Amino acid sequence: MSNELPRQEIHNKEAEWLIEAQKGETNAFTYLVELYQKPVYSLCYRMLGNAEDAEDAAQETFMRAYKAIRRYDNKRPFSTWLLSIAAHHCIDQIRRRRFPIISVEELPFPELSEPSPGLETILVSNEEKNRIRSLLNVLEPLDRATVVLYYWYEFSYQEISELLSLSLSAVKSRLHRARRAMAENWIQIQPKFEQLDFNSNKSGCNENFLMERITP
Amino acid sequence: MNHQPYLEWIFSDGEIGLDRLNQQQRYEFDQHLNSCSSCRSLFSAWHATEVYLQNQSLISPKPGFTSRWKLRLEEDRKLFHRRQTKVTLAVSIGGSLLLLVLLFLLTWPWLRSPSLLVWTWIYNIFIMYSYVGLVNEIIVRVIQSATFVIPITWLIILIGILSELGVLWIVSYRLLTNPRRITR
Repeated sequence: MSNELPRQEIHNKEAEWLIEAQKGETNAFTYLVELYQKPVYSLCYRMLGNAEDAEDAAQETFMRAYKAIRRYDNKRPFSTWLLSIAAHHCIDQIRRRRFPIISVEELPFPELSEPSPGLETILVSNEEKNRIRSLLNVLEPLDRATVVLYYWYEFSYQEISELLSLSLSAVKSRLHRARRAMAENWIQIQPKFEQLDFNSNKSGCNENFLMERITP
Repeated sequence: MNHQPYLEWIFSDGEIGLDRLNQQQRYEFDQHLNSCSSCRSLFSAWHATEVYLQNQSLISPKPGFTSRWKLRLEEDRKLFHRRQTKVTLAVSIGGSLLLLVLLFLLTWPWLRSPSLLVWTWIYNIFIMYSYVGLVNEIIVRVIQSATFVIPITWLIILIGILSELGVLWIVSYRLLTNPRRITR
């Protein structure tokens, strides 16, 4: 019950903010940005694979939503509408990419000036990011969007079909194809990551591990 | 060996997924996995992948996302205003140029022969003078006919009454239309 009340309150507030935003109140829309920044950013990150592009895509998503807020149908959930904008924008971005972009954060240089998270933590975190990226990179943009929405946002087939403008059978077949591709990819990448995990777990091997990661 | 139905079961969920298999199908599936290393490998890989995907949480952006969005909105607005100004300026300049071209095209024959322009103006002045003369003649004729029908005394009285009515109309119009002065 204690969890229900704030959720209901947030829901009511969201409805108020939406009405205000549709009247042109920028502050009301700012509250919506505050509320939805994490799911939108996360979707963009999973789709595009790096923080810079994800930030840019998430900002662009909110900008597009702000400009089109008057056309938003109040009967539909706002989250679905917003994530639909984000997903379509990310799909376009991936299709436009001709060459793979390597983000600065992908480079194996940990921030040595900040001792708090620890080198090992940073490297393990980077490995996790790389593993997810490797898994999703083999998928076509629409398949990737389907997987992200299904596994991280727990949308139903019906919701995904509405969100991505696909038929129900297309969603099912895309998910099926994506699962198989990811499983095949997992078989290929897993030994590499297992080896890295093993190295990172060895005590006193951090420096060697770091050198191994940095050495081309 | 036909792997298709088993792969279908592995990678589907809902109505045709592994959860919905009956005992016979489940037995067949297990038998197939025991004998087929490729399907077994895919099955365990997908199981591990699914668990891994489900364990991943949402990622937060760097702190200050909303502030950065506000800045971007401001920039976007400025850009929009700049673009709007440029468009307005371009349309104005374009329109002016078009009007200038039209004006030039219209005046081109006159500019080529100024004497034609002078003669046209003289002709227009002559026409205007003829019209004024015609109107003058009509008024004189009307007055002459009126004095012939109505005696001059009655005509003066009629003009006097009409003038007084005119003055009365002007005074009442002014009283009705002028705002009243409010005094404390």
